[in-house]
Amino acid sequence: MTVVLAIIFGWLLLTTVVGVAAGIRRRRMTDRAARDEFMVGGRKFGAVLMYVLMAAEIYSAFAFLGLAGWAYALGAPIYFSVAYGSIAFGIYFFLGPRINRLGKRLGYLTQPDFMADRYESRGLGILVAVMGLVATLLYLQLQITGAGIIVELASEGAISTGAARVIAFSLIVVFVTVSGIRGVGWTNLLQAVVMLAGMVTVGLVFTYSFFGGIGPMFEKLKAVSPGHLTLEGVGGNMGLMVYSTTALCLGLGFWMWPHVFQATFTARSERIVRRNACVLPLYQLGLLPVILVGFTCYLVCKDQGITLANKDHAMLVTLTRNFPDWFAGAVGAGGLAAAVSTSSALILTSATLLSRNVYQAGLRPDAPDRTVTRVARASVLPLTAASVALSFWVPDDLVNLIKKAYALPIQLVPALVLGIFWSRVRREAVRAGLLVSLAILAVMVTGLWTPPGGVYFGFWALLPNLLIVVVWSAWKPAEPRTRSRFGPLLWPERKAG
Amino acid sequence: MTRAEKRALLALGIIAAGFLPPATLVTGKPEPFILGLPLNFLWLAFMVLVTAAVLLIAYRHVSMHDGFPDEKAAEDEAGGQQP
Repeated sequence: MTVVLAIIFGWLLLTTVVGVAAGIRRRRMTDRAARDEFMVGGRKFGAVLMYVLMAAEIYSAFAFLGLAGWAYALGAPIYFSVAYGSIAFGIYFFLGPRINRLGKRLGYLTQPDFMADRYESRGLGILVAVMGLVATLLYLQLQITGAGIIVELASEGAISTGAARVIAFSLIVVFVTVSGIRGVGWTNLLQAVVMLAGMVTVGLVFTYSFFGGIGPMFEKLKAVSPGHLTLEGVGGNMGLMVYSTTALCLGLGFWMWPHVFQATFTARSERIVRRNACVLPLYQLGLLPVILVGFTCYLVCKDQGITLANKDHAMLVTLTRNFPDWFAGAVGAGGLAAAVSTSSALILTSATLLSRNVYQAGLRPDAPDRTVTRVARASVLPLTAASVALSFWVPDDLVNLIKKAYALPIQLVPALVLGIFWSRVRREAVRAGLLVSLAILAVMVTGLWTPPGGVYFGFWALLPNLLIVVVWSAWKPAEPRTRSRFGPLLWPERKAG
Repeated sequence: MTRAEKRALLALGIIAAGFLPPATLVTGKPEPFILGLPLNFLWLAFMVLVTAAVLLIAYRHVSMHDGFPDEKAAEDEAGGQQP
């Protein structure tokens, strides 16, 4: 047991040291440069830092535990997770370079900066910042819950999930406060190696040690539980509609996350962003071994008569009961790495949204850059504490949390994607679309209406929003002010001939 | 969108459509096994590789035809500063 804890906490400590060291060597810089350094790394990240910053968004605690848990409980419908990431990077190929260009040329630091400027509405910027804050805190709750499960199960209860959450997130607060996004980038580089190694190793070791290979494991699964290998899933209530709408909505929604948007501002050039869009899908291959783990756990738990309290525990319970301590510790460290890397970016983004788009834009427009950076640093701790508290008061399983969290950013698709590619999209249309979709989401979340046909619930809110924005924008011509401000950057005139 | 990007948009269509699982689409029964593995599982791995390959082709195409506006602007600035 001591070995497991030594590996997990040793790893966490190393992460904190690297994160702090990344930001401690500071040159003298102006207040504005210090603010940009904290929030977008001075817009100087090269290909590697940018790659790991983006990749960490895919490999969260959900990828480690939720994926295996879903494969364990429901089967093949979890394939949507591999599909949505790849679709997301296809979209990023077109969207990413434009986001980076806007950030560099117009000085944006956050997603609501773009919304407020593009639609000339401070209120819209604040609304989007609040939506981003809520979604980010929900997603952070997922990471906190995941981190707690990992440490508690890997230590076989020696450390409670509550204590694990508090310890892990106190250390994250330290390096995010000190180093900002540069600390996040450097720790992600460290985490990427451990995450990938952990995922691939555990996938292969599980299937080979229990069944002698991937093929024999699937053969047994087909004989024992054929439902695991249908798109309808074990309960038979999923199917193509759920698979395709979830994959498409999450693929679209991926780039609407404020932390992903902000990470795109860190890249040194558009070439780096576009190159990353091409190679990032390969990272999705690392998810396949985790799905194998989920299937293997189902068969092993059935054979050994293990009953799980929660499907998200599948991987770690099987691991600790059947493998040596050092191996459980190494895999636990990999899982914790996944949770920490995503969490640190989420915490930084929520602090930035609060300071830049709620405090400065809403409360004190004349606040100097130095104060904005100070507010961002100071809000790291309370925001993290709020999310940790949420994970105790409103516990939920990982897949439900990710679905709920995604429902909000997806509603920004018409305003952001169409707003970047289409000059006609105007403020009134975006405002009306967003309000309608938020109202529909509220009705669904409070249980007043249940969406039919098993379609992803965020999709029902997105549909009318999209319709309103498209119809309204098609009906009216582009505003000349919008054209003159954004035209040279987003819609350059083609030269005749 | 530039003309090269519009052509590259086809890549996105291929990716999105390609991820619709081929086997259970019509049958709703346990998927057939190919090379000892379930068809959908193999298909997903294959599609991830296809996604990267298609995007790389699109990248080459777009960079050849359009280049990168930020690099062009930097080049123009550097050119303007020369005596």
